[in-house]
Amino acid sequence: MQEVPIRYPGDRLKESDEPVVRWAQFSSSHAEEVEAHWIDACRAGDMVAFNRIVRKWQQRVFNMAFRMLQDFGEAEDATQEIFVAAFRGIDRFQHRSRFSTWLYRISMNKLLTRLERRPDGLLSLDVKATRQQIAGSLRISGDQEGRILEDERRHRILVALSKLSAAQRPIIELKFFQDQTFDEIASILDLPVSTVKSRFYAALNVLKEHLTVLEKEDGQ
Amino acid sequence: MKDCSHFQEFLKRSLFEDTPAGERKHLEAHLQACPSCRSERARLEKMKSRLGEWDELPVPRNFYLYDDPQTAPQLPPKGSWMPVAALLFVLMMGAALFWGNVQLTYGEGFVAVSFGEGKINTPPFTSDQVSPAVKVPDERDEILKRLVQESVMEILSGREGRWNDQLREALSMMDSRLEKISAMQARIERVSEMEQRLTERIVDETEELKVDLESSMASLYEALKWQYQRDLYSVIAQTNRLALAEMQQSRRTDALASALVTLADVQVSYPAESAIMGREK
Repeated sequence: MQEVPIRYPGDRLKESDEPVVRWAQFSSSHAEEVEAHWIDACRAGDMVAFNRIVRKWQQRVFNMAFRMLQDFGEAEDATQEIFVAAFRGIDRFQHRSRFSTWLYRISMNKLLTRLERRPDGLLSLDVKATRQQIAGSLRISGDQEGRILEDERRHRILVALSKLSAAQRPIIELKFFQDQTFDEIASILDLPVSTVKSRFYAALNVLKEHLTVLEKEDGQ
Repeated sequence: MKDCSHFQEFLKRSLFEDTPAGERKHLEAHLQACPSCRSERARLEKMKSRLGEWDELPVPRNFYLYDDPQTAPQLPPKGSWMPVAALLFVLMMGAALFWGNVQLTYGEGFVAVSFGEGKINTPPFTSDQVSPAVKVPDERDEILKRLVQESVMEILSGREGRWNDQLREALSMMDSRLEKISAMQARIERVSEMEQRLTERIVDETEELKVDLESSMASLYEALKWQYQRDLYSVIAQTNRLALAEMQQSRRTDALASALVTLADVQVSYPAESAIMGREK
């Protein structure tokens, strides 16, 4: 197995945050090529280029933070923190993995730190406040009924996610919502693939139980 | 039941394509037989689709870094400040001249710069006139300064980046166009290939048609020949019949003639009898 630094052949391998994924595991699309240009420009000090990266990723990262933290305000802070960290560390990104993988790694580090820092141990979901926050954030969509329905669905998902442990959350997040493979998740979270899988399937049991229970309640 | 727990583990894995093909077949076979596993699978699939119902929330604000100077990390200045200073000076002078707030006047042995309400077209000072030195800047100068500062700051912070951006955008656009062009070329190639194939087919079919036509012409010819022969035979038969009839006729005429000849002979040989016979009549 050979690690091929594709863009900077002169670079030496250093201690870096970037998870090393085999080149064969990903092929870059046109969009990723463009993104690579942005990253290079950003390294050269072009802030506007980084803004483009932010614009591309902010919705995903914000939604991810919101699902993980289940707090609207904290998700906003965390998103900003993640992008600042990404900007500070952009020199350490050497195109040895996908940019998304690298960004997910930073995000997960930041989000898990926030979860660990919480006094009550974990993961409380202030249902009322969250609902209001979501409703407030949805001023764009016009259709009232669709809005409420969407809100219901989101809320159901949030409640089910809140039953997961801090170790299970990132895995479910990356697998379900970010479409990452088990190998990619393992390299993002620095875990063996077998651990990732066992946690994932354990988490599935929890989700299945709670989603079906909620549905029964909804049905009645 | 013991089997089922094993298969339910498989079920979860199969939902995320985490099973080898052999096991999957095994599982499918089991699912055919086991209703409880089937319902379990339905539940898992429903859960998966429920999770897929998350509709992305819009961001509450943009998370750009340079909008917020407190969080934006400062980049080290690059290169010399001289070009920037020169640019600043030129820009200031230009802007000031443009707005009419600075006036350059010159006379014998001096050049004066005046700010404020000066007019562009004042005649040059003569030596005995007192030259107005630099005047006290008024409100307009303040506004001007602010404007110039703002525009310079804007240039420093944004323009280079924007140019780079535009260049990159243009490049990416060009890339996408090139991609489109290559896709189009591929399509054209495909179409021409198809055309060639069609042409080949048309040629083939023409050949086939020719062969068909030839064979049918041959059979038609054959049929016509037969018809013709049959007609010919019937004409010949008719002719034969006519000839036969004619022959019979001529035979009959011959017989009559011979009879007449015989009669004449008789008359020659036995004239008396014939004369008697004539007289008696």
